[in-house]
Amino acid sequence: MIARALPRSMKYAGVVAALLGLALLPLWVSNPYFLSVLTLAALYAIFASSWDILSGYIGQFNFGHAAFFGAGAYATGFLAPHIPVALVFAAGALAAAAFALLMGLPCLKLRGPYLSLTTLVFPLILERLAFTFRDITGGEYGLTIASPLSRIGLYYASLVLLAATLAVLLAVADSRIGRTFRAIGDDDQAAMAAGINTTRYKLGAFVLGATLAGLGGVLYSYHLRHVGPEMFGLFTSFQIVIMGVVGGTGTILGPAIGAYFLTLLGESLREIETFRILIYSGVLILCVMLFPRGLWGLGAIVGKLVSRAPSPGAAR
Amino acid sequence: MFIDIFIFGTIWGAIYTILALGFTLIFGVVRILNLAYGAIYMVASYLIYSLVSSLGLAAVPAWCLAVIASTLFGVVLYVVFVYPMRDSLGRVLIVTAGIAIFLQEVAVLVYSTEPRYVPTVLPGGLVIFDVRVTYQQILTLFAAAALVAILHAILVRTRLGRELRAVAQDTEMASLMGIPVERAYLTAMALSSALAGAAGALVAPFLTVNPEMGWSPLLVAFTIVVLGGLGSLWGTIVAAFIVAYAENLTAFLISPQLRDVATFAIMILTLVFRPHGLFGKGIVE
Amino acid sequence: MKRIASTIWLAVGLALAVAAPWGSVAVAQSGPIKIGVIGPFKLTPGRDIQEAATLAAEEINAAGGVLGRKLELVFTETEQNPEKGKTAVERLLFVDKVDAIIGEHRSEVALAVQPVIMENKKIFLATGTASPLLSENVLKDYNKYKYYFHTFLNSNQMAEHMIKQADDMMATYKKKKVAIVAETAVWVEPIVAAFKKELGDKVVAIERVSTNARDLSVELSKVASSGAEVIVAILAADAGLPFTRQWADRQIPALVTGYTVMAQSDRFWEQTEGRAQGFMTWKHGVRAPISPKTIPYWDAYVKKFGHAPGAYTNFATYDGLYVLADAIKRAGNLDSDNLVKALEATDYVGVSGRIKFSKRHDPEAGAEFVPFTYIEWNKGEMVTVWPPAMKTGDFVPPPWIK
Repeated sequence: MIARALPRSMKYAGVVAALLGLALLPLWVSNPYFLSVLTLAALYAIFASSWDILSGYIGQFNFGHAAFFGAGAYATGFLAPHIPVALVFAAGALAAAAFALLMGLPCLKLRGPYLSLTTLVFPLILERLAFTFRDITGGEYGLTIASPLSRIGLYYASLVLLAATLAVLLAVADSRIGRTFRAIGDDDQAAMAAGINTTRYKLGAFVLGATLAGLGGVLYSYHLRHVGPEMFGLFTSFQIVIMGVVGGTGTILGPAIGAYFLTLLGESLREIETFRILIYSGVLILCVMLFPRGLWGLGAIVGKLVSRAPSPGAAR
Repeated sequence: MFIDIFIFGTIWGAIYTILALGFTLIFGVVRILNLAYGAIYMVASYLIYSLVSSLGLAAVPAWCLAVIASTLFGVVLYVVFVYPMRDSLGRVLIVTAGIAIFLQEVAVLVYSTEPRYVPTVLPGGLVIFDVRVTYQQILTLFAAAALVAILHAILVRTRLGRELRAVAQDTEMASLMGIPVERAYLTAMALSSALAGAAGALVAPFLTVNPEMGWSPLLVAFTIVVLGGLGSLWGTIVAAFIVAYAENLTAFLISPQLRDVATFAIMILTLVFRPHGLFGKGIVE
Repeated sequence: MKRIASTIWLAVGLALAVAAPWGSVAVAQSGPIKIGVIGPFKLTPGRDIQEAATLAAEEINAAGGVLGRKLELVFTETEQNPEKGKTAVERLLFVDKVDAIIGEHRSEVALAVQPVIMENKKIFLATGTASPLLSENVLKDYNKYKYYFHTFLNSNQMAEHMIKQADDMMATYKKKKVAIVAETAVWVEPIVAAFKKELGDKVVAIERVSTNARDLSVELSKVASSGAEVIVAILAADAGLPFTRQWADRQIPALVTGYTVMAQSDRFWEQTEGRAQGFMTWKHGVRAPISPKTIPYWDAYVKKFGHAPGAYTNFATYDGLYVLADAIKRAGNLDSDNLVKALEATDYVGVSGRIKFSKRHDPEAGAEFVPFTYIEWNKGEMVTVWPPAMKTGDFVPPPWIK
């Protein structure tokens, strides 16, 4: 236990250090564009890590995560002009959680890949509905949103939400519940035989991930000052899967790192920006083929080579 | 008006049957979900476009070449990407999704998103009950029926087909009986890709060929398999027609915008209320 | 194990974030005048923005530039996505430090980037969007949005002129019943509403088709059974293509007019395998004597790029860059407030007609300004058939309609 507790505390220290580093960044980086990209990266880190609790820990790959943060974003579009900001966040989280329950109902009876294909269609349904009920949703134009926060305010708000998301998710993942999630992910038949109500745990993970993503969606729409049906597009959801897999699933921090990595990569490759999606999907294929544990796992291998000595945790 | 819906629904039902049969083959035999299935269909359509428009090939040889190419493509896809990670359904799913996006983007870069068209083989048409139907659509109907008959013959009368069905029934038992399971998997993958290619060849002349055309057939095929259940040829055909008529009726009665939503609703409602599908064994265990 | 992995990755993440080599921050005062050009360059409307802007800039620079400085275009892809659009525009404003931004054909992207550009007090000249909301902002909050200008028509203006043409067509060919086939989108709402209001009972069917429609059989059946003799098609998306093919295949007995974006493309004849014979659409930018500059531009364009100007963004972008250059010359400097005054005083004859901005910074439309021109596909060619003053050929109905 002590051997496992030590790296865990170090992991938390690392997260705190990284977040503090990001919080201090505006001291050097004052260009609004860089700040905006970093805000976007933090938001995607929220989406990717909240995706990981169901997809990584339980191994039920959700291909429709966009439904959740899209719900949060549209809730903002509908309600922001009418109610205080705090209530908008509550509404965004609620809307996303409600969708998680709605999606969970048919999806959680399904195993692995079948669940994935079914989750894929939910955002597509919402996209069609957004086009159809254009009196309320603004159709293809979407809705314009006034942001209550300044650029720097948004940056810190996204960091705070990222910190909170990671704290909640890591706390859950490292608790008894997290171990149960893993047990279900390893073998849900065995978990069921051991008396675990797998459906309840899956639904719990679904709702938890969705709620956090919904909060992120509220912030995302404040950042963009706009919400539109393209939020529910196929690639929006896939992008989260790609970030998660490239970062390393089942680690919470891996997908967050994957989100930062891909967002910054996408913005720095300006000369070849036409190939962005090609590069994203190519990196995904390579990762699944060669580094199924993603950047996080790769980091572990590099770490092993650097230290050249078996560390206590390596025996697992 | 309902005559129109019946006629166009029937044509779509025939196309969906081909798509769903190809999908259920990998699903039922290899027991993986191939998200690149729609991409094979897309690649076949572009191949025909290139062969006919750029190389000036006649339509029928172009169709045959496209079907052969998609078969080979399916086999390569299986050997290179699926085989190394067969045991992990999740990884197969993600790698095939990655391939689908990758191919779609290649199509965007090579052909741009400008929609393309494949020439009609049989121009002209005739009037059935006041509805003008093109010869191309009638050809599609007959070609689909012929493909179903060929597939049925392969499954029932050839050794490969019998092996394939044995593996679909019970992989372990088949393996114990000395049936080469891997070969059956390859056969299923090849047949499935051939059907995707053939479907692409059939619809390309009256549908737009564009890079994202593969997703809708994939989801439609999945819905049909959910509804019709696994391992039933007739179940698949009936489900394909139900979905096709439901789509056209929705477009007529409610809103054309909600055509896809009708399909998705069938998928979800079946999963909730009849998880084993209408016939055969369902995908829910 | 995990400890090392996490520390390394957190360090890498941090290093990436701090040291991200996102190009050098430019300082521009005396070098070239930098114009940001935004659009989805992988699509035809985007390609036309890119090519038309390139040609205009080359010509302006060959003629000595503006205020003795060359124009430098910075192209940035927006992927038709508001999020990508916002990042792209922020990069243009804060990294490239462009002096003005032109382009974009998607209203939703323009709506998302408009406030960002306005808050930084730079000129935004949209060259392809149709939403009236954009220029409405100018009316509502002039001080904030005055930097926005537009060289393409908004959908309210389209409605007015499309009705005029449809009326004229019905009178000429003695047709009484109209069906409207319009995609399910907000930008067409004012057009559909105006048709309903102006033509009243003559409108016998209104079909709203899906933007991603691949098959319009049901919709066409409804139109046919309504007895419509004229179809006003309002289709910006790919659905225009299957619509045309199925209309011809099924020999729907109704003339088509309206606004079909796909039918403006030089590839349309090939895409429909000649089924476009007799198909009519509004096209912004045709090879007709709209102004003395129009035909020479068209021919120079074909010579340079090997294909005819396609989308509506083409003329709007080409003229847009000239209008901007003209305004900079008259303003004498790049101060945005001076530029707004100069742009508002614009009276420029370009390839799409005489450009004068209205109070809401849209171009004035109509015969004496930017004319509303219709083409018909006839034997593989786009022939300008309306208005009569500009036509280069006569309207020929499709073969199955007398």
